[in-house]
Amino acid sequence: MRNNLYQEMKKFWYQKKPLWGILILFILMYYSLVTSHHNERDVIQLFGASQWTLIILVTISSAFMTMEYRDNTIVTMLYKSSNRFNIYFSKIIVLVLYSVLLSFCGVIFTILEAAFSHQLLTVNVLRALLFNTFGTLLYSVFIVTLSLLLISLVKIDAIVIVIGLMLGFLGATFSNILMSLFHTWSRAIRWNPLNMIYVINQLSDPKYFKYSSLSNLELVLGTVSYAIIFLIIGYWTFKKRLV
Amino acid sequence: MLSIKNVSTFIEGKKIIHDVSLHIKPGEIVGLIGPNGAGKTTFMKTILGLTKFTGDISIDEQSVTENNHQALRKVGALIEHPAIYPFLTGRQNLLLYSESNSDLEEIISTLKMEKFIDKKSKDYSLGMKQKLGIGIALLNNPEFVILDEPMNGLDIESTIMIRDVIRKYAEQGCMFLISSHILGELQKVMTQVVLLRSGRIILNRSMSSLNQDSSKKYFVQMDKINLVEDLLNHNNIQNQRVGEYLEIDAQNIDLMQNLVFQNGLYLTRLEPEKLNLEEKIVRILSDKEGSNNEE
Ligand SMILES: Nc1ncnc2c1ncn2[C@@H]1O[C@H](COP(=O)(O)OP(=O)(O)O)[C@@H](O)[C@H]1O
Ligand SMILES: [Mg+2]
Repeated sequence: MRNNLYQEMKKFWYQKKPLWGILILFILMYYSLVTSHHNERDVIQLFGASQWTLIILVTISSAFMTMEYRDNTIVTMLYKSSNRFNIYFSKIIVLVLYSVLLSFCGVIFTILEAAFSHQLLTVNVLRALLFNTFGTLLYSVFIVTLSLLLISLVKIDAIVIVIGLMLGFLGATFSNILMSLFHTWSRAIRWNPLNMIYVINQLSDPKYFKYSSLSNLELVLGTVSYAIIFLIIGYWTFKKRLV
Repeated sequence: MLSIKNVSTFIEGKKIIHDVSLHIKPGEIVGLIGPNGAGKTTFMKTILGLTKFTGDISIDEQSVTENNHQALRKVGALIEHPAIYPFLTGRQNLLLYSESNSDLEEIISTLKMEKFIDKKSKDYSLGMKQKLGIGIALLNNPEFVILDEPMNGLDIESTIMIRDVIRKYAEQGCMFLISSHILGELQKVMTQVVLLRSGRIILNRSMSSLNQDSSKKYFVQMDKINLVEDLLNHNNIQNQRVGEYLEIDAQNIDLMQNLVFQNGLYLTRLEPEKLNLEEKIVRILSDKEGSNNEE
């Protein structure tokens, strides 16, 4: 396992993509700043960092798995590892660590941009901002495990990226439509995976409860449970996959 | 010691390898020869525990299964295409799998990769990639190395160099299983030849037994060849006239010589038919088929 983790770390950093990811995050957040109305809300929402982080993560996660099949390196990895779980889990750990880094950069960039645009960082704003970051981080684990599951199932990274983006941008809306259409079922429907995206904003802002219909604790538990389910199914699919 | 007993491999429920057994001892270089689609790659993947199979595979008495690769700790392999990350340099690719780095420089120099090893491997030629792939297989002083069509994309010089490298490792006790769809490619290096066709081993011979004189026909030259021909025909000894020679089966040589001397004639030349490896193998196979048909 230590070997696998070490290899994945190395491969990850030698690729230029992760650094590009951080740069793109900065550029997109800067874009949000110049197009915003300079209010507190933008700061709390980290100038859109959550959404951008998810897009970057889906792209990088799926590429991080498909590259092994493109150049046949999967064969070497498989016979050199004692089992397939180590490979799969190492990839997830590296990607989760990367989401931590992205979140950290998101906070730093937010503080810089707030200072740059002369916005006051009150304790309340900072608190809300950190809750949002924590929510984003939880949802990142959900997205990373989901991306690797989708890659194990459909094998083509372009498709996974499209599905990921649709989930990221339209998932919440779709979930709300479902809940309002099937009102009587909404007690069950609120637990659908698309609804978990509210974990990003609801921790800092209870008003989101009226969309999610789940308490903060339920959202956190739901997100973590889905991540574990995705991990298990994803690993199982990966294990069955021929090389 | 590699021991494969009654192994059958299944891909998507289809049987690709049929009940194959094979043993390799330290220092042996086994050539796995077969046409495209014979199952060479699948067989090699099976040994690496990458497919569903039945039967036994063990390396130094330790079993390889789909879920346990402990026995593969001292195994290196190149399967189909060299497994290389294009965004890494050749050296970084090697370092990824290197355990102690003690043999790294040696591998780079024996495979003559100094010139390009620190460049990004996405710019490598096919031959460079192939060498790097072989280098990865040779890392960490392996006891058993699997090379799937390693000569692909290599020029003559590199082919000769790779052969020397393989021999060098084999002299130190390393076992090799090397595949090719061309017999001649491995003829100079292998110690054992295994022919695979449609997932079955149809021939397994040591090269030394093949190199022993196995001629079945002799060419005989003599004065008064017409007289001898008549004599042989009269005594029902099969022969065939080829220009100034008579072609005679090996088992009839003694009989023919006696007849010739008894009749006051003499031979000017007697020489065995020279067969190349391919012809010998074709003959063994056709004999086998013949005897199978008789059964
Ligand atoms: N992933 C796969 N799915 C289905 N059939 C396969 C797969 N891999 C190999 N085969 C089949 O197994 C047989 C042997 O293939 P292979 O081992 O690649 O042969 P070789 O390496 O000798 O050219 C072929 O008939 C091929 O069609
Ligand atoms: Mg092949």
